[in-house]
Amino acid sequence: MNQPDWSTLNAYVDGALEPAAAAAVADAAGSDPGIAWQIALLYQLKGASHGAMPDVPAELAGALAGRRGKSLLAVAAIAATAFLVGTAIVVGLYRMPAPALSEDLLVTARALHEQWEEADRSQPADAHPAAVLAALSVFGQMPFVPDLESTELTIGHITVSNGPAGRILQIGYRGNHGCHLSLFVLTYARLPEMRVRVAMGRERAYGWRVDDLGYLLFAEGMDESRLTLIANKVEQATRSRTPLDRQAEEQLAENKRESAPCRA
Amino acid sequence: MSPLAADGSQISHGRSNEDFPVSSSTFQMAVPVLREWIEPYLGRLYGFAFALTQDRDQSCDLVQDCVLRALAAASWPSDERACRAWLFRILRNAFIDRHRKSGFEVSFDPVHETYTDDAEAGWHGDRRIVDVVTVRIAIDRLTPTHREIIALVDFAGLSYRETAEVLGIAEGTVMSRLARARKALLAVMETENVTVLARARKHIRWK
Repeated sequence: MNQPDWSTLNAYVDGALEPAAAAAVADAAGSDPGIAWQIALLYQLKGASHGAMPDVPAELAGALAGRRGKSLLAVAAIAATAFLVGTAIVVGLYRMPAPALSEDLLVTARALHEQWEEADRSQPADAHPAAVLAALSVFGQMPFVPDLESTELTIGHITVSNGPAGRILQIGYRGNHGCHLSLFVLTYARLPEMRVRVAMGRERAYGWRVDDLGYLLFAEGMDESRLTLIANKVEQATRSRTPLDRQAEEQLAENKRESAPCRA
Repeated sequence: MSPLAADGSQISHGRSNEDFPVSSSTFQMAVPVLREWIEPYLGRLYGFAFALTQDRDQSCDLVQDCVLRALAAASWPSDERACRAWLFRILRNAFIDRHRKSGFEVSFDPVHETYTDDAEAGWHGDRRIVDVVTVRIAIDRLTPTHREIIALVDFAGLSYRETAEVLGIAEGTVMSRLARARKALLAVMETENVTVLARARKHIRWK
């Protein structure tokens, strides 16, 4: 492949390339530091642009919320509508096959998570930028990896493994007091599109799919509300391919302060 | 409970909307669902509105106008994903309508783009100039065409396909226009001394 041009690099960072084209760009980045530099620049610019979004005036949501003025008839209509919509949703869900995470995937995720956690406890190491790029090149696509510093989790581990049906990229987030959270990105679409939660003893997993990439968040012993909020925010970030906004970061930070410490 | 909870009565009364005629039966059935779809995008709609107007009050008005038009529309997208692009398109149309009514034409014509450097070459400036402050300043100095496409992709997080739907252009045009817009953004930061001024503030010691 020829060297990717500026438009292609932009599309790569925005996740707008077809998998084959994205893989070619990732390969080029792995072998050409200049390309890798341009990609890093574009990620930095994209993140800064998102951060530059103006704050929403508080009165905006309030003003819209104030447009109520309900009459009894209207309230009744809403209640009836809610009942009908709710019934339709329940019936619809009942007819759909129950979303589930495959057992082999969970086993793989657990093994990779525990392997990293064990190694990290004995000898913590940081993910080196070059190793990150190499891992992503092997992986072949550029997933969206959110920054979770606001909840005091930093990326300490990135690796690519073979999973039950394809490559698995593992991003390990490490807390200050022993928390370990793994975000797995899968190249096959066996995860349900809508987020599902699985609880196994002290282990928790959240899985969802965005286009042809599956995401699985896995942790053990983390405060339930904290993990749920993280899953919610990470899912939103992966769907919109934008960094967490200020409000989300504040929510995560506040939740962190109120959460119980992780249980090793 | 959603802060956008509304029975819609205010929308269906006293509002004549030629673009989106009200269908009362559909309206009553789907308002709660549509409201839930709209709510998460209020902030991003505001960001897009601000990129268009560069004015806080006008942006608030535009977002409210957009929401009213959406809730009063005769038909709505069938899923939340499709709803995203639809909402941003409504907001953009509302912006254009407002300017037309006030006697001004809004020009998003790319011929007004002044950037002339080799569009497909990489950028080789100092990466340290790129941060939230400098980008915020530089975005204000871009053309409306460049501001709106950066707002749609980077503020709102729309895909290229959704952005193409909002702007009524081909996906390939989105790709090339966005690439030019980002390079223009970098050029503004580099050539208009945005960085030096912004960074200089960090070294001021307040006493």
